Amino acid sequence: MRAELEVRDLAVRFGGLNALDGIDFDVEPGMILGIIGPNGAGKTTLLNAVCGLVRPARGEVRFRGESLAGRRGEQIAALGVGRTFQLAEGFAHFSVWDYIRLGAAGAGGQRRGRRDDDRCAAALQSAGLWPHRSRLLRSLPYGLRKLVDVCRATVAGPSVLLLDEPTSGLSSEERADMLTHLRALQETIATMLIVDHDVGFISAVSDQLYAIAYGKPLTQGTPEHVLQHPDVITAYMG
Amino acid sequence: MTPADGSTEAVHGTAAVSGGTLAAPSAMEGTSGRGLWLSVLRAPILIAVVFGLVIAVGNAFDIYVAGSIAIYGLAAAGQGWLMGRAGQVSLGGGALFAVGAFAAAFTTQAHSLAAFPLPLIAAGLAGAVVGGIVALPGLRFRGVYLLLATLALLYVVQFVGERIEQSPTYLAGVSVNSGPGSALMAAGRPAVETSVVVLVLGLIVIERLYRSQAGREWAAVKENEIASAAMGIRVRRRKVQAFVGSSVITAVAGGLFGYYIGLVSYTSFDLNLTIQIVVMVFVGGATAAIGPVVGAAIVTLLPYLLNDTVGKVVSASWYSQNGPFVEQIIYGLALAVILLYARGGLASLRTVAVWLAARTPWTGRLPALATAGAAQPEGAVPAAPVSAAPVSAALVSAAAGTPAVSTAPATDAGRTSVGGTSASPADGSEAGRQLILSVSGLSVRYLGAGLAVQDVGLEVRRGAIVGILGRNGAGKSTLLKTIGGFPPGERVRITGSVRANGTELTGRSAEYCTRHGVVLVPEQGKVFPALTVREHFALAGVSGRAVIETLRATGLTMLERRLDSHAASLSGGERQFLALAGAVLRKPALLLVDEMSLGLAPIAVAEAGQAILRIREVTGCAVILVEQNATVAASVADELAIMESGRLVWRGQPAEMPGEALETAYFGSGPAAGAGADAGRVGS
Repeated sequence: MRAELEVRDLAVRFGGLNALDGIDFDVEPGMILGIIGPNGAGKTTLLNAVCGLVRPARGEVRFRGESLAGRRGEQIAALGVGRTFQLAEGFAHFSVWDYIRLGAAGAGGQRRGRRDDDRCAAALQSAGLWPHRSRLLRSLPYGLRKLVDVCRATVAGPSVLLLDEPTSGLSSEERADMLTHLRALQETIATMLIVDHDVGFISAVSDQLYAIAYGKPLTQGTPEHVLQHPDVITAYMG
Repeated sequence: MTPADGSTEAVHGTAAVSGGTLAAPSAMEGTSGRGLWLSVLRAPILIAVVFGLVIAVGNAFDIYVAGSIAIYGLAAAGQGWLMGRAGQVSLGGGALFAVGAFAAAFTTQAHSLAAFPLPLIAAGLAGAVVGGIVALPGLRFRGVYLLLATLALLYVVQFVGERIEQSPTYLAGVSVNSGPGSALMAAGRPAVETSVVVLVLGLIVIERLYRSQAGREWAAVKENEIASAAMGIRVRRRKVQAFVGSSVITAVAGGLFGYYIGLVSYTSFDLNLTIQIVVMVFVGGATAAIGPVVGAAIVTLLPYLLNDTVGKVVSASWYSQNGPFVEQIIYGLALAVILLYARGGLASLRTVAVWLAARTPWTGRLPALATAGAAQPEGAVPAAPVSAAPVSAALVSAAAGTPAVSTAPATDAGRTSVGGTSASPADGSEAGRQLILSVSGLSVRYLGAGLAVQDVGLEVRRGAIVGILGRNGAGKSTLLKTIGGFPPGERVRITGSVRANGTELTGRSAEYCTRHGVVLVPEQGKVFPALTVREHFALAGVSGRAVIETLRATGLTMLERRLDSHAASLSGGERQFLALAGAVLRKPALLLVDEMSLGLAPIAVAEAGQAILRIREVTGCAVILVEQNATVAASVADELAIMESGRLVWRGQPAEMPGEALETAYFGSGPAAGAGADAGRVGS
């Protein structure tokens, strides 16, 4: 089976700093890959490189066998790569509805107003956000904002979803909600790349983990294997 | 899951409700249906009625001024689209206005094209072409650079205009010839009526676009281009559309202007005009289509108003010489005031009304309104905490579900372990000297939303570390911000009292609080992305070896290897540590940390906890930690408090914290609420 997403020998430099170096993995269709690593390991940078927000210094990312090199962020999004943000700066004055509706942009096509409305309404209802649709994002609790962002990223129906710390700042109850929501999403959006620090959450949701530190890969495998790896314990678990 | 028809209708229904707010970008809701058109047409109809009244009852002079306002209003509405909605700053307004005027005037020179609407259409086309050219720098530059690039357009237009007027045919300028249908633009009432019709049509187009997917995406591009791209928004296409579309509107206004004055000369379109258009946009309000028209009315009427007032008071001859300077000063001041106090401009009447209501004594308690980071006028700060004594007793009773009606002195059992024994410690008293923070009867309401903090009383001893736990939305961050100062732009109403370090801080700006020893590390926006780590320290007056020493003393050593990285390239955890270090350098007596463990790896959470202990050891400051992670908070804090639905429901030593109390906090007040109250009593 061909991998949905292939990352080949990826390197990203910021000035003199090697933010990522030698990152190499495949994500099969239907697989959830969790990415863990200490702060500053380059996890967010990795997501940014996949969705075209930073340009790799070396290596490439392939989506369904097609290289994404040289494509802009919106083009990659239009191919079906959605992502959420650790904290989306700005947008505080958007209502939930308007923010979700932005997500429909990624689906491509221009004059589909009514269908996009329906799609967004359905997404809001399935995420339990429908009662909040007129509230401004700034007035929402952090946990709901995270859920709204996931909803926005999935409304266009991407085939790969990149999630940047979906549970940070959430209470244990909200984490459980997020887990349920992602499991439900897995039925439609098969493939996900998740960055998170909650070890319990990420090992529960991921099929495989990929551990990085200082921009370099440490190890890859099942959650049990990765979390018991001595390098991961030293660098990450403490 | 497909929604039933009813639910889709409900979406459109909300458009009708929320679409009416004039300036709020939330007016973008809905993409079709009757509610949408109601909200689209509301402002243009209002404008049409106002102009209609002036034309009906005004004298010739009033009507002439109304015509000027309509034309400038249309020009400014176009620029408002570009600047207010799409966030592209531009000084090209005056030049585009000129392009439209020249294009219309030249079109009337050709006999076959002089039939009335044709010159206006030509003006629009010329605007589209020039707007497309201006979009080129718009795709490359942002902010100040874009501003300068668009300014260059003005000088090009001036240069070309000058060349045109060197030709013998156009010595005084290009005249606008009459043609078939130009009776519609005949001087006087017809020209004004036609201009108003074009203005209203233009506003309808803009209002409709603002409520489309394109309108939403322009607003998204304005907020964050990079995030917009990742969402799949075609950023470049949207920018070009905004440049071209707004230029068409402004150029059509220029065409009307050509007819209005009859002779188009480049001397009419100087830098002053450009600046006036910018002032119109921002004074009126850049986010709503109607705003720039309001701004145009103000800017156009100002000289007449000043002439009638200042001109009479001082002397007519002095004013006739100095009038323009007085106007410039007033534009500048008005712009500064608007940007400080009513970012949405005057058209956001709701903002202004809320602002007035909040400052009016007859709304009950005299509130403090924290706005735009400005220091409060003295009069707006409540002179004394309102009903301080009863409210601080809410601590325990709230958990039991009873309203805070207790009038008992605040020395109730629940707070004895807190450190302070006196209800409202006078500064001179023994207890008062031990306390670094004393909060009483504090309630915080977000304007337009519910109470975020209700009747909170909280006292913190010098050097103590207090952890505040509770689920999202419990009001923890709001409480912290009320103590440490709200960031600019947050609109809240605060009652009660916050005293720290012997200073009244209620409703004060973050900057004021920092100067008085209360330093907040916020959850978001805590570092400057464009500065390196070293430059962050330099800002706080620390450089060279002292940087490393500070990092080592406070245990924030993970920043050492990133000293020359820009904060933008730091990870979430590194930003957290940088913000902590920056806060420590401001020598706090009370350090407030919002969600310290947010986004930290397990190993870094432990490091951060150690860092907090080291910081207290080195500086002796007290710390309030707002935390999701109860384990971290319990391992670091001397005392814990649990917040729920805006109230403090339990407080005590970490070891005493019963599981039920925490459950109450995180899983809501069901049957466990009673247990929370018991916990409070156990804590005593």
